[in-house]
Amino acid sequence: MSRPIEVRELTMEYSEVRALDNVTLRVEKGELVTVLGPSGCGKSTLLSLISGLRKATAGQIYLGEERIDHLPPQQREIGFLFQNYALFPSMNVYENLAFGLRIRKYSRIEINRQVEELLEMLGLTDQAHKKPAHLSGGQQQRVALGRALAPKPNVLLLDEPLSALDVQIRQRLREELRNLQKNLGITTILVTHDQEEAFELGDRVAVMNKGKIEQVDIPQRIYDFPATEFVACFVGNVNVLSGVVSSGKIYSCSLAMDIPDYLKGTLNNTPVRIYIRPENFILEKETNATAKGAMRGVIRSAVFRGALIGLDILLDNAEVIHAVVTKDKTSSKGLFPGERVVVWAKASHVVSTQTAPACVKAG
Amino acid sequence: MAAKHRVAGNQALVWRVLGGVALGYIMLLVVLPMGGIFVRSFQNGLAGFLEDVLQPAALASLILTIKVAFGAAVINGVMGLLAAYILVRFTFPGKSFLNALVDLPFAIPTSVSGLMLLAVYGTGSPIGRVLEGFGLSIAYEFPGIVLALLLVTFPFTIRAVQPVLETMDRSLEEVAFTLGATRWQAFWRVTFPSLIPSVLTGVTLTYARALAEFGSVVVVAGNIPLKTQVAAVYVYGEMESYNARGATSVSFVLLIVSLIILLVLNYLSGIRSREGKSRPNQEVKVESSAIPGKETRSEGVS
Repeated sequence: MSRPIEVRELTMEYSEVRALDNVTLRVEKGELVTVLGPSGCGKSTLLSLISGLRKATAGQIYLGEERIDHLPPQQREIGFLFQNYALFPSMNVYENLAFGLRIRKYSRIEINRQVEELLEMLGLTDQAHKKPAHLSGGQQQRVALGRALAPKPNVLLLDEPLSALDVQIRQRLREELRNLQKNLGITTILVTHDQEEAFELGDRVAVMNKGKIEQVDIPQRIYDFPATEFVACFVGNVNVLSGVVSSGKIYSCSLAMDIPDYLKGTLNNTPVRIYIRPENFILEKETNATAKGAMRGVIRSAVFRGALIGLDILLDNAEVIHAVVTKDKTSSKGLFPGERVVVWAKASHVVSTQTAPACVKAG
Repeated sequence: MAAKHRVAGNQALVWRVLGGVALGYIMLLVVLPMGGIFVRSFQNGLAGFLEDVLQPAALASLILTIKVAFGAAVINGVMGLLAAYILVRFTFPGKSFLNALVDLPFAIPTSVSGLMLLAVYGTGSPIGRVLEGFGLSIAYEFPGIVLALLLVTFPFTIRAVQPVLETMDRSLEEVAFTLGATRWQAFWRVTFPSLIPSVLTGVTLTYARALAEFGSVVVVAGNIPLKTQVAAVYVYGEMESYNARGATSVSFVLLIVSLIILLVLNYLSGIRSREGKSRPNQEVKVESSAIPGKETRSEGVS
């Protein structure tokens, strides 16, 4: 039955390339952790190591208290859902679901009982005798999920389980997947490159980049308190402003902000990059009054997005920032294209002194 | 409009003519000679035909041919499947060289294949002497024929199975491993069922080719009537001794057996292409942009 899974200092090298670099992650019993990252960040490698299909170069894997990294995949009892589902083409739905139970030599009656139960749970009873080729994408996904769940694995690994589906059914299956996982209480790791999916499904989200886990936290904190430059710009929209450190503050043009704790003690005139989310700007129509510690610019365009309005602001130093405000504020404050505005920042997300940006993003 | 119609009409005519040429070509090369054989075999009626075929040497050669071809097809079916699996799923030094070597029997004259076997297993050779010590002689014996046929036909199953195995999704076996299946179980329960049509194709081709083999058999096993004389060699022998009707009658039987086999083959490849069409849609939308969804998430208020 469901158990916690933990990897410690896991490293994987494919001839010179480090696909996974010293990764440590613990997923509690019944928890769903989503692993989010761009393609090639090592997230699929992580799954193949946990499942036992590949052998790690270094590091340990624990299932509960038991160390399992020396075991072949057959003995780990970890369910794996492949991105392409990998349904057995010569078997019908029933046989696909029964596969793991037949291998484990369950009695015919027991297999029949469990498979019928799964068919019922997944709403596939009518499809039991169809071959995978005759199922829709969503049905194929359910069969693959059911087949992985049938032997009641310790842990469930899902590799981009929804990416092969149409957008319309993806949302529905996402909810189904979430409910199923909670009802069964099965420890789950889900790998995805889709940030919405990661945030919506994950109890916690692990953001990966270049073989390393950059941050593991609940979705809200990943968004509000990104731990690294990469997380700040991979997750959500962000403005990148260049600035300098000067006597306990950071300045970007005339915009002044408090220096974060981790950069206290940085020398004056050190160049920095400042990451600010679009909703974290405060905008006012420009008046003659002096606006201390603010930037000035002109609203270049406004994009209507329902309750929110996206504004492009051309600053006087020729940089462009993207801000998001509520619809009410644009009208009450008179923030329309062509108007001059003053801009403050509520908070910065990450300030970095590193010379190379972690990712390139348009302001 | 009229000009357009004329162009279309001309094109249709061109294709009709080309179609006729192709049909005529097949008629000329295949159907007419077959008819010729038929007419000659039955020039003295069914009785004459039966008399020719039921000659002890003729009948023995036909039975021997069908038997050895069957043996070769079964052995090379199994070994070809194994070799294809190993060539596709494992990596080892010299693999690509070995892979190139597989086609060699296609490229050399079959009489040379026979000579190669004699050099290794013949009575004068060291291996041949050892085998004879165990009471097993290859040259001029039944095992020699089978060995010759095995050598000439071994590429068929390998080359029929290999491409199917190569395009087969490897994650099928991997998912079977995660469900507790050993490599052996994964092969038999998951991979093999999808390979059956291609294995049967390979086996059928092997059988057809083995029925027709002449050069290597005559070199290795000789031309001993009632013992090592296969049908193709018998036909040649009858021609040499001016018994044209006897030769054609046996040829006719060979032709019919081959024809049946090829029809079976055609049917099998029909199944395979139908299955290919209805294969699960495993097209996967790979991460199309590096950071998808980034534009959608900027909720929050100012």
